[in-house]
Amino acid sequence: MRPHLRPAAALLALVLSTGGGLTACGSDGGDAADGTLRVVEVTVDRPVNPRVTAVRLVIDNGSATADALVAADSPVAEEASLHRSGTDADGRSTMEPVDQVEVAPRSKVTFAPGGLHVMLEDLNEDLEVGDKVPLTFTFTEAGTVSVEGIVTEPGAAAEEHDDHD
Amino acid sequence: MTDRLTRRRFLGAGSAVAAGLALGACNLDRSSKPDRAGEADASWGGELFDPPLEKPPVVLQTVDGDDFDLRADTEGKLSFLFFGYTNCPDQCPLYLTSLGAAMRAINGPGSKAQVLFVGVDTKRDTPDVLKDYVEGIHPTFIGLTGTPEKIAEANDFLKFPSIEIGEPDAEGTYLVGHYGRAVAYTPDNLGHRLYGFDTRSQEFAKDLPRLAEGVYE
Repeated sequence: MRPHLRPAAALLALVLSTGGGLTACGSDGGDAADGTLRVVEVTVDRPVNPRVTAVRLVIDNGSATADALVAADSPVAEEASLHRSGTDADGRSTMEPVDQVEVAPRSKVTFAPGGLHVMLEDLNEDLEVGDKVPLTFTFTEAGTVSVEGIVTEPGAAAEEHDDHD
Repeated sequence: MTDRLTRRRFLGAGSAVAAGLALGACNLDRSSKPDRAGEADASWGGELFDPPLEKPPVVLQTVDGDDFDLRADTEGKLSFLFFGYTNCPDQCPLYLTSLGAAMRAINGPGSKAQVLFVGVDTKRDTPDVLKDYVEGIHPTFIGLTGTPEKIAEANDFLKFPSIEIGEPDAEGTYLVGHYGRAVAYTPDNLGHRLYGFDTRSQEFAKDLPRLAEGVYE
């Protein structure tokens, strides 16, 4: 068994072959060097309550234009809305709806546990780990961006974003 | 490299490994963060609470309608007490699933911790909803309910920030505010550690065996 070489080679092959979505993870700040705004690293938490779940993502604005995310949509949910979790002055975990999320030029905004998330409610499908979820994000400047999120175990996205810091 | 793959496998779910690998490729060119690389086995998840918390002298109800005495029914056991609500999309599911995954990944007394989840949003956290929610995470998790007053009594005994159920908006949606940390009670019946929603399953897995033995720092 050569566990050390094989997995490394497999991962390298995966990165090289899948191009687009994964290369965004490769370096810091403004990976979308082609000057566009992209939504990447999109995952959907496997719903623990079948009614509701959270979408995690990174908005990578490689353009010179300031933009703002104003809406999200998915065929798997009746409602999709933007929220920010936080802790209030008394130490309570809270959540507030957010009208829009601004993204400065050449910067990234990460939606991760404890912070920003898209809340999907009234899910009309059973979502299992590995399922692909179509999502549409509406930006004031970039317009509509459609992506596919992957359903992951809750917490998996948190671990990834922490490694990215 | 092998460490990262081992960690993914450790979390238990095969599909999570697949998803983890897809995203894990992003980490190829990252050097380990210093604290991760230098982490000694003596490190702990969550935070130490000193002086420790006692258990609320309150009787709530299980999802099957039986009384559950927060003191008598947890006597001498390793237990975790969570306050949350089932429609919480962002935090409650995370540390509950992390704890469940950790308990599945290890053997020994730590894997048999008594996990209590009090659904503070009594309007939506009905016994049936609570039961499906907690047992879907781990078959031994215990969902607890009660009157808002009893739940508040238990919460407030711990001096946690009070539970806040917001006013419904035009669509009937309302927000729920609750303390985002769970208490770990060791077999001495004292809560020595608090765990936040960002606790990783690997951290729980490392702490559970020690907590089960009464070690908490």
